[in-house]
Amino acid sequence: MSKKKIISVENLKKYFPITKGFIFTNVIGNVKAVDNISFDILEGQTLGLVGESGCGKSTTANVLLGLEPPTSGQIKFQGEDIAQFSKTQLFSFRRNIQAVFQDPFRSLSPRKKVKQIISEPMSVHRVGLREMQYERVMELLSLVGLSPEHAELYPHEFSGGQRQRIAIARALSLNPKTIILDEPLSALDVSIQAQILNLLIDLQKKFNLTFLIISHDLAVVEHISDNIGVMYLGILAEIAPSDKLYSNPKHPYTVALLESVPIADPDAKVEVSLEGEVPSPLNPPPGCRFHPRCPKAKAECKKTEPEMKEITSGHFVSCHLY
Amino acid sequence: MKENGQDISQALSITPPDVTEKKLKVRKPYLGLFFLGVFFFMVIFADLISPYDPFASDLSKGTLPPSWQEGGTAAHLLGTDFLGRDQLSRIIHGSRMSLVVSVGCILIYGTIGIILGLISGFFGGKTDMFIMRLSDIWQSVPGLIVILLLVSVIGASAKTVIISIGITGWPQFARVVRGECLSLKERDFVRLARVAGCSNFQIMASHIFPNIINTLLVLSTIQIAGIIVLSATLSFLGLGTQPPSCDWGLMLAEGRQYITYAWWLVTFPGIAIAITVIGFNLTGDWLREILDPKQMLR
Repeated sequence: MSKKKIISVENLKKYFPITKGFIFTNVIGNVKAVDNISFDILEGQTLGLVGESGCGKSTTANVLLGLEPPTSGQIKFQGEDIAQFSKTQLFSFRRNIQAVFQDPFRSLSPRKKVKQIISEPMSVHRVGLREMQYERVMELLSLVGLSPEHAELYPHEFSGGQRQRIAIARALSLNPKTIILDEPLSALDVSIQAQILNLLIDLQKKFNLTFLIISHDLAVVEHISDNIGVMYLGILAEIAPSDKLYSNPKHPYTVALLESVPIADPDAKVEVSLEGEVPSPLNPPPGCRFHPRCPKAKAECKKTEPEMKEITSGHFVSCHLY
Repeated sequence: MKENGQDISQALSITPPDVTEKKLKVRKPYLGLFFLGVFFFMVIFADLISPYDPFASDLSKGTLPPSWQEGGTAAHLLGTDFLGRDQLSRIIHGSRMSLVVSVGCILIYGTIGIILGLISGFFGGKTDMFIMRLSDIWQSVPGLIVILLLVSVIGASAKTVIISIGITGWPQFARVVRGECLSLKERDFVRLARVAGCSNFQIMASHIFPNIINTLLVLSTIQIAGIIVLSATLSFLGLGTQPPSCDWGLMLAEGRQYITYAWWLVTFPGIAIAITVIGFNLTGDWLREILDPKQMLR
């Protein structure tokens, strides 16, 4: 491995306390949104995070972006712990990590022109003079496949796909090293999804970007990711290079997820391999969190929580079966 | 292809949905805007259109009735008061005082309310609780008592009215701003602004505030109506503007003593107040309808 780690997450936990009381508040429980996950992202590569809704994918993104402080654990950006950053360091760290969110109808400020939206990160970080920023906006617009006259319009005059292009242009404006994409395609039509996905892949090659892409759509993630992590109820069930994960899934949850991907054949039988609901993250089951729904659960699974094990190079699973 | 398409739509008798019909349901603003037009016309051109100096008294022409009543003269259309001052001129000039007082109050309590509301909604937690409880306490004290206190300390004048109404009215503004801010700060564009590195102040000033201006405009318009009535009340009680200045509330108070034989001294200032208040209210309702994005989508 010649490529260096750009982001490394170690034992990250994010709990949301539930409090009771008015003035003297007591913590009566924690929603364990993210519980002890670790992963690395290499420079220029893409990590996909998949999982059901409520499994902690977006919380992970928020913590990585510095929007919410982690409860414990470390996030290292190029070897430096972001929790230790001073205000000025945090400010310059933000130049290196940008985000694109799910719904392009809500992620663009409705009262600003496109050129203001795209150039905002530059003006906040005082990069270049106004004219240079304007030139950069033009450059970015053509990069994402929009035309210069779009700069003077307001977001509501665009379609969903175009808005997502604007959001991507904005994320690129500071030349970040990393972009976190939180469900970037799920609000778009299928035909537009492919366009945006190809745009992202092109941009990644051109600028050597590192992506963390969060999705519930396995097909999308497979197309773009080098590594894929599968999350279940706040933990990372399995993380592996994408070809290994798709050809040889290990964790029973991953197996079930892959089976549930719809097949384009009306005669194909749909097997429901998972039963039951996702338990509450407020009170996750003891032992392995997946055991109440796991078809291969053993007695051991109910007692002890499995550790992350590397079964082949780069393929980590947290399951007692291996 | 085109002909085919037409055939099919005819066969299925598809009619395009009538979009314009629903849009017409928004109330017509003409009456409100007309009243406001008259009001602002008086404010702007008071010196040109008023037939007399509103302060010039002529005791020989005291308490003349309106021109159409017996004893009235065409020279004084709405009659004169007990000092012989022309009613019409005083009403026209009085509009200026109403505007100054209401805009002054809105500026004061708008500023306090917006700042506190933004801070409260944006930071949440203990700060929010402190500011909201403060506004509860503030609202639980009757405004008139606070105003009476201030007037007795500072002395009755138009300035006192502006200051005292201004500092009693902010909780309503703060609450509305806080509510809007609470919902806006969770929106994705605000989160992205933080990712871009915007400071709290930058987010409040350039992402949250522009999105609450509509609401504030509507709120201000409706509040102005209330302020005009309140300031007239204060003048009527002798706590507001002092004679000989032109103020509708003051004219009411002065005319009250002569109400049994000079009905015009209270009626016309009263009508002026009513028309202005109705104008502001109707316009405020209309603004709320057209500026609400949900209404526009309907």
